[in-house]
Amino acid sequence: MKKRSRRRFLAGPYTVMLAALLAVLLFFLIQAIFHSAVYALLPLLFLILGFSVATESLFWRTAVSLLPLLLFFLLEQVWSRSETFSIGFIVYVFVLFGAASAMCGQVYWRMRHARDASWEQYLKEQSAANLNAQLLTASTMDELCALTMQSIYNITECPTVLFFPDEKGRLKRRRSHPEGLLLYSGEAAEACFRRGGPAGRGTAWCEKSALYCLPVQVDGKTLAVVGLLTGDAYPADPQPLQIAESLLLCFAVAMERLSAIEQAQKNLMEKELEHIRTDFLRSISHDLRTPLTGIIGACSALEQPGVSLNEDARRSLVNGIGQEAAWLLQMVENLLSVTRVGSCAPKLKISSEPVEEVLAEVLEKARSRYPSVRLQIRQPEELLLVPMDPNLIVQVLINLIDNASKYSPSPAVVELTVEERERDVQISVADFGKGMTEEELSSLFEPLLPRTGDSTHGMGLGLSICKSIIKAHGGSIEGKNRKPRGAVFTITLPKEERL
Amino acid sequence: MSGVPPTVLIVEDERYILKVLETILTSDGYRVIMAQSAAGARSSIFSHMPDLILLDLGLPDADGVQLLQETRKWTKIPVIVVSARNMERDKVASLDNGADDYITKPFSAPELLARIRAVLRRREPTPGNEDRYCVGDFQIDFAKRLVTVDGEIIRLTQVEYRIVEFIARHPGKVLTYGHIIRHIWGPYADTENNRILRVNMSNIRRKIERDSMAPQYILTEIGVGYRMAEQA
Repeated sequence: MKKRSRRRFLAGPYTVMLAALLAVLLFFLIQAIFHSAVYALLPLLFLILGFSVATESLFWRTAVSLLPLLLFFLLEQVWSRSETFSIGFIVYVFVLFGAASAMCGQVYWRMRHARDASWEQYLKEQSAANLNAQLLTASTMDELCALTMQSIYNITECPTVLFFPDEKGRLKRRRSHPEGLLLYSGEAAEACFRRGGPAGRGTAWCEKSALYCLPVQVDGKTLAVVGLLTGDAYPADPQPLQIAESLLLCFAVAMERLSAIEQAQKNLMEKELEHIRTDFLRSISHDLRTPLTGIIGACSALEQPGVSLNEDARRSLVNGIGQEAAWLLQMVENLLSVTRVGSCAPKLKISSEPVEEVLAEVLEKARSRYPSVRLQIRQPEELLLVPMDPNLIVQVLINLIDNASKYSPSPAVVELTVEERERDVQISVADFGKGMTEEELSSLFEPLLPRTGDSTHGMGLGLSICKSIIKAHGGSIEGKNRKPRGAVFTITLPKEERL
Repeated sequence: MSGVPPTVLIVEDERYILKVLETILTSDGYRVIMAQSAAGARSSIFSHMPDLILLDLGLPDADGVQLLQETRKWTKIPVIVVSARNMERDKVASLDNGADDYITKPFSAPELLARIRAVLRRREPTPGNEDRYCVGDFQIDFAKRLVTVDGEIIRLTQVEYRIVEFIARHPGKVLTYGHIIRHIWGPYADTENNRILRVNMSNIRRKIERDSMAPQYILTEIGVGYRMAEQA
């Protein structure tokens, strides 16, 4: 502030020289016109008053009022060689002019300071309001943190670091500005977090620390800690720190808002999953009973005393038990997946997986389970890493292949195509079967309710599982008929992990 | 199988499964002892010193991984972990804690017997030829640091070779991503992010496998790690 106003005015010595020069010119001018210096006194007063506001420092201001007067009287003495002014009068003029210019300058500068201060205040409020708006529109926690760190850095001119507590309550560095600044949580940050007030350099707590730490609080609860690398500067100017503190309040509110939104989204998703689960369980109890009936029946036939079965009949019964059990197994695997994408179960185990490894696994599994299906795979040449829970995605693809094989004449040909797009990856499973009817298309991913006399094992279940798995990955799935024949199911998985 | 039949300790709390496993193993010529709890398993290991332990991870009185850790402190008895599907975390934990292999429930009798045979075979000292490993057309000469497929020399980068060598030194054993990363990139490497390993593996596959969609030499255990194919 001071720097700026000083730059706008002439430096003190120049002002004084200019004033003195003008006083000399004025003297000659008045002397030429009126042949008396008395008339020059009034213009001289104005000149001095005018110049006395030109510089802020008291010394130069005094010089500006005194030097021109001094020159003026000297010239007058030299020029007219007469006693126009008495010594008393000269002293009187000096005192009067000096007091007038001092007062005038004082008033001017005080007003000026007040104006500058209010302008500064206005600018700060404006930027705080802007920042607040930005904070409230930040859509991710990272964005929010980055914005806040940068703003605090701009205001305080101190490198800034943000710590968040982890599950165990230990502080972990989350973000810093300038980025890449490696500052680790120390005792000061911990103290700040525990007591919920400032700690570190310049405070009574851990004053030896390099960081000055401020808590990020909402409703008395400390959410995070911000550390400022104040260096030796602290506490030269407390004002930026005060602004930073008020900014942290906005930050805390914005954080609360974000987490509330996240929570709401999570609730919505959990509700959806809950819905899928209930439907699923309702329809599965019927489906599970059918193969179990077969197994129990076959067992009782096998152990029936007195009845001798021939080798063929025995083998076919055992074979049947095996097949029904295998089907039950797949059903149970699906069930496990549903509980897995649910809320209370362990979360998805997401990692960056090479698509080719996942497809190789699908290929191997499909080969043993559906020996009659011919799988054709098309995928990009270069390695494609996609964040996913590999076992669940394998299961989705197996379900889709299972579906395709059921809708296709034997031997079924199924095409698996991987396509990389800008933000996501599409994997489609296409068959050359009879396609789907309008009715089937409309309720493709809803768990089919058991229909009487339905001999095929519950098909729709597999698809509804696929949908819930893909949704839990933040992706989408769609199914449609394709020309000239057959159906295609496409799953889309985002390349970036969505938090 | 000549001489004394190998003793297998089955640790499993489900009585019926225990019965089935016993039937499968005895009919294949193994001597079987059984334990239904971690406590029972501990005393059985001490008193019988089995040749192999078949360990179910879900025990009523203790965590299977914990039992495995205890056992590994004093003995190298081969352990095959039996785990339910979808429990990759347990698989990885038990492999990292010294399990020799794992098998996923449900499994068929031939699958189980094959795993047991493979683990027992691996325990026997391999006859000579320690400086070379080959499976099918794939051959790695540890002394010359040379990998050939079908007689053709494969050019691998330094890191790629070290990965292949490390996996080939433990044929048949599943090596978890974390284990490989720690070995290749050092103990401070970020094992959570196995991206770098996956990228390298993809390049290796492109160089050594005929069809990277159906790898023959380095096999993927999805969600767990990699395994070198064993000599037939």
